[in-house]
Amino acid sequence: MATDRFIDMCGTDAPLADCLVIDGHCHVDLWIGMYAIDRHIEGILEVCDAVGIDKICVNYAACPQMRLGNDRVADCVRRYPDRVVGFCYINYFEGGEEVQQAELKRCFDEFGFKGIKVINVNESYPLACRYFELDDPLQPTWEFAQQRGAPILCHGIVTGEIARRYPGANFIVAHGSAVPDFCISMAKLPNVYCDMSATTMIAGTLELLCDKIGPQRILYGSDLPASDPGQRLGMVMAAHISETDKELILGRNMQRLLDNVR
Amino acid sequence: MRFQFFDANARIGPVPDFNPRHFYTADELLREMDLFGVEEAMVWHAWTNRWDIPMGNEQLLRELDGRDRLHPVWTVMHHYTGQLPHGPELVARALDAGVRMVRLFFGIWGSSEEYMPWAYEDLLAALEQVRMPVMIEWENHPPVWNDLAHICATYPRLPVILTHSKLTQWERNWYPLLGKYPNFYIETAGYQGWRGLEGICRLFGPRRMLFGTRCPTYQVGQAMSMVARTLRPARERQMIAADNLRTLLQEVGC
Repeated sequence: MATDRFIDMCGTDAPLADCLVIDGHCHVDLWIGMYAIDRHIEGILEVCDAVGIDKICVNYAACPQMRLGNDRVADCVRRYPDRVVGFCYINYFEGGEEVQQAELKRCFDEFGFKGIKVINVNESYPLACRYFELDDPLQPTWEFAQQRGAPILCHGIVTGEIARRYPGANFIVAHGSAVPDFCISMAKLPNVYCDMSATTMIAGTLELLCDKIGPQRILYGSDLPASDPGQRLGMVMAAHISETDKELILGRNMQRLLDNVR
Repeated sequence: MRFQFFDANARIGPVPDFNPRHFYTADELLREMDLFGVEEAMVWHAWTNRWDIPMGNEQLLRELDGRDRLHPVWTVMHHYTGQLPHGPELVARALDAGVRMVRLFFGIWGSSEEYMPWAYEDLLAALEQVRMPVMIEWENHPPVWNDLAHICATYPRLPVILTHSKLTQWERNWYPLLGKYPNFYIETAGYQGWRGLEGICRLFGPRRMLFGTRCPTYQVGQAMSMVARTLRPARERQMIAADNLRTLLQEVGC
């Protein structure tokens, strides 16, 4: 059997009880029409309890109305404050500076959210830039993150130029392990992190990322309830990296980012 | 609880894909299985869908010779090109060689291979005759559900296993297949749905899924973890991890 305790646990149902596990990329409830059982917060936490996930960072991206979605996340935070970390979804279609700032303040100051989620919906971001005649429709959001030291989970959108312009914000490349080449190209920027929630990840990808960008820049994420955490945890557990590196990826890195939020 | 695992989908042989942790040989596969605690594996050879089916099948037998935990899976196709014998003869040769499972590939790179019922009827009928499970893979596009339904309906005693499906909750077309055809199975390597195995167990029972890794493309441990951590009784998880596959293999030739 393996000498690595995580590898040894892959074939068991033992929860990851002896290390901090934070899932940095989670959703809740309905999700663009998909079918899934028990995707409400209680169903999600039931699985988290069973596999040993301590906290989940929840956003409601792709909801047609960002306030509605953020309200749903706020309800989860209110009911499970020790387990759920709110990430405020900002939809650049819904307004410019005032709208974004108001929603960010509402979520951070009223609900205690700790992070932000933006998504390039249907690859529309470049079109939105032209429509609003803006260089960057999310500039107010980047500025807010910079002021608060908040992590921003970016599905698309983030570029090296943006990350350089806002060094006080921490940019997480959502599904980054699906685009390891992009993450490696951003490795010189200390405020860019790689989220592990790739739909599929070929063997060796995590080892490659650890080697090229460092384990301290990789964050465990599952994209639940679009995927199963048993499988996603297995990606980290089975990797041929040190146990210390696995502990960083599974939770300590994200905890460090959350502790940094003002 | 620690489960016993029998991998339905392992591969040896070189492939032209980039994979930082690739391995090619039977002994390397056994080392990986030992590291994670996988007892046995059904193994196919990469040559069969990257080079030549007969050469790959023969090479597979040579490389697995003397390794009792690794069981050969031949890749098959219709006989009209002359590459492989006519269905009944091919199945007889497979049984003689100790082969108890075969694979069909459709949509391989550089080919427009598709399921043509009239071209595959002799082969599938021969497989059904001995109840030899057939794994079906559409390599570069989503499964063709109507083809699967046709095979399951036409050959009801033939275990039909969908493999490398990359199924998610967005894909619901396979639920009717599970509901209508008791000879339809899913190999778990490409499946990653939220509480997905649990959901299938609730609707259709635990008999319809077979643990598979598709190593070395994917990590062995991630596939194991998904089965082991499914919220179903341990007996059902053990069925998925190994027992369902063993049952299918025991029925070959009966």
